[in-house]
Amino acid sequence: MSESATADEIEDGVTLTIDGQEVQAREGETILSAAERAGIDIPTLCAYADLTNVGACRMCLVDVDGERRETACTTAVADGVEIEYDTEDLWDQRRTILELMFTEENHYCMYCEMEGDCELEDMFNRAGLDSDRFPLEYKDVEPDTSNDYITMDLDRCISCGRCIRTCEEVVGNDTLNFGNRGRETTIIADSGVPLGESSCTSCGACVQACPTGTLYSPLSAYKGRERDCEVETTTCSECSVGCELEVYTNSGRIVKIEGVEGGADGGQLCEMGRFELLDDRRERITEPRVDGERVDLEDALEAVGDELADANSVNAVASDRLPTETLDAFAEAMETVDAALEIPGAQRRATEAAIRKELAADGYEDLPADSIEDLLDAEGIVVYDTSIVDTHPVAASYVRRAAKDGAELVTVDGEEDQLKRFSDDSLTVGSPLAQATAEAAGALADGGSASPVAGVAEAATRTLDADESVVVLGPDIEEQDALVDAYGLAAMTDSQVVSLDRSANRADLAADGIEEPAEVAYLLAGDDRGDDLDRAIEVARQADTVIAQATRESALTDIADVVIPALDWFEREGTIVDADGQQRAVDRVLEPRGEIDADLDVIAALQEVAA
Amino acid sequence: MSAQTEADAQNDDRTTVATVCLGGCSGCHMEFLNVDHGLVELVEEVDIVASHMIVDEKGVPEADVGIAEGVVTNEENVEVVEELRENCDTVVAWGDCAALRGIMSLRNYQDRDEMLEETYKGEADDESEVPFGDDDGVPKLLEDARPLDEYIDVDVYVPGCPPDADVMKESLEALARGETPEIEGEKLQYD
Repeated sequence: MSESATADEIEDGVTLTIDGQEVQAREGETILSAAERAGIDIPTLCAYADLTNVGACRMCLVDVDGERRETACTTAVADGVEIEYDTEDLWDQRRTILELMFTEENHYCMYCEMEGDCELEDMFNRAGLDSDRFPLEYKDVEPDTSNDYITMDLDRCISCGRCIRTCEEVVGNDTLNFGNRGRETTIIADSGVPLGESSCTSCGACVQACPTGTLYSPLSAYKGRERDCEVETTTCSECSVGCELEVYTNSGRIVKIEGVEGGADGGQLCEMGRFELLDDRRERITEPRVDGERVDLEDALEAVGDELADANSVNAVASDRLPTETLDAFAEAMETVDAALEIPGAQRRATEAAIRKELAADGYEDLPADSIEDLLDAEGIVVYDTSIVDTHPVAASYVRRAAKDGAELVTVDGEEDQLKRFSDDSLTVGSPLAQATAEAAGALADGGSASPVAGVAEAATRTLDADESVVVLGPDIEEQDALVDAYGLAAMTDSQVVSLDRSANRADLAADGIEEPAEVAYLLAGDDRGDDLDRAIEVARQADTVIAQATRESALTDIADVVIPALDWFEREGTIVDADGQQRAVDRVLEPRGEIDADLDVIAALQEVAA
Repeated sequence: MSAQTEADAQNDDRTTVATVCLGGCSGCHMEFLNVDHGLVELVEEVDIVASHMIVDEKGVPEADVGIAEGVVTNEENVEVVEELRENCDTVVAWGDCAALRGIMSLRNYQDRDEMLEETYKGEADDESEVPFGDDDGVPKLLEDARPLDEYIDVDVYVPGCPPDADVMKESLEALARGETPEIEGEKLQYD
């Protein structure tokens, strides 16, 4: 629908008239797309963003030369044709189709979450639907609430298929499909299982694509209409893909988060960026505490300063989700007290930098892919560690899309292969991944191998033989040997490397890691949860004194001697560096509630007291 | 009736209007009261001969315009709408319930008797009975609640829950002028 033609293409194109208006179009373009560019609003419900057009909803019916009636979204322009779309006869037809939709399912707006934001409601309005000639059906359709973040109420569904095409063409996951036939046609997940039990990755792209109230998130339901919201954009810091978030807020509350249409990611976000950021129900920390007593920030900082000054050794862990400016200041502050600093992913990045430097000296330059979007054009892909499906879901979607487009895909995992459905060769190796990559590199050098994981070597080298080939390294590949072998493999096969380490912010930071337990542990945890929080707790448990600077209450703040409030993701400002090495802006979405000082101010004050 | 008012009544060429409330919440009638000062202008054009919040008339008298709010949900509603069609020249469906089904039709997803049972049984006191409508003085509920035009022909639809008072006023004024009200764009609401 939004396939736009360049000026040159239009020059060589065709001229047609739409409702008397002369319109220039590119040859092969659809009537709908030509009309859209000319600012003519031919009605449609099933055409969406860059998805394939299927002519499902019949709203874009047009008369061509007064002779034939076609759907504008699936009919190509032709020179000199006269198109009519706004006639009373066509609107009568559209109204009849809308009446049939209204009859079949429950499209009564009042008890629908999408009321006010619904494209079907707008279409009822535009068509002037004020009654229905057909008796209404009351289908016995139970909403599918089996997925925590996505509710599917098929009693609102017009079977436009936008969700199916999004799941297939944008997310590449093929979870949603049409089931049954004729009037019984419905949307199903996989072979008709509840959404929560299906192959759905809960990315929510279908929710964003749905024109009605069929697919919606209970997290956002009834929090307010989109048109009453303010929209702020910021960069997601859940992983290094760094998707742009459109955050909808109403009266200081976040209503929903959406992806930005028009990019290579097709407006995608993932479960973390779209839903988990909204679903942090841990209690917010708003006041500093020392030994469980609420204190002023000054007193808390003084206590921290004393602890740090007196300590023989300090270990520090900082969240990789924080902006570079905050992390830089923290690293500097920790350096003044000779602390060992750990930031997830930072060490691996330093190792990779060293490997790349050596390979560059041998003439292998430009190994890192320019952009993770290069995956979309790859012909051969080897993924080491398929947990990227969980940790870097949008990058995983590029791998799936490339594989479906014909790229050869080899997946290697020490545990469950999460890309198995799409993989040409799925290799689960019982031995550490390091060995698998070593075998592959070894096999390439020796021209063969008889090891138990020889299959990995053969498949990987064969796949990387393609012209455009990419090696994807998931977050679990941390051993130096494995990294050396993976880069070696890429260098020898003239492939590119997409490195997806644990860091969301991939800025260059001096963080050499923690080697042994220390007297004092300082955990700049931010809003960390899951593995990152577990690691912070592990470090905290080894220390006598624990200082936690965190957004929300957790097992970490329970054991901390000093707790300092930190900003939440939507309150931060600064920049992060994404997987493509680009500096990206983290913008404040909402002002911090209450008296929470900026992390940077707290760290500056801290450095003062510690010095 | 004094001689004077009798003479007035004979000279009265205002459009007569009767309204009834079927299975509705009276919200449309309440919204109609929001016409507010405009009611004074409106009664220059129309004579409201029946309307449960305005006029003390229990039946459905003959009128130029008959307006119904609510779904047809019980046997009495069926009688009332048939009477409305019989006695009025133009029939108007007021609000989402009468026009399109409305919130009252949520009950169609339940079994009628189980729903009544669930709602009434033992809830008030030991004496309380479930009003199934079988000789207990309560109109029997139909299997489903359905919009007006599944029972009678409807001439004008004014959807909305409720429709805006302004839209109600304008549509009545149009009818009084003998025109068909044009309800489109912003005036056409589904909530």
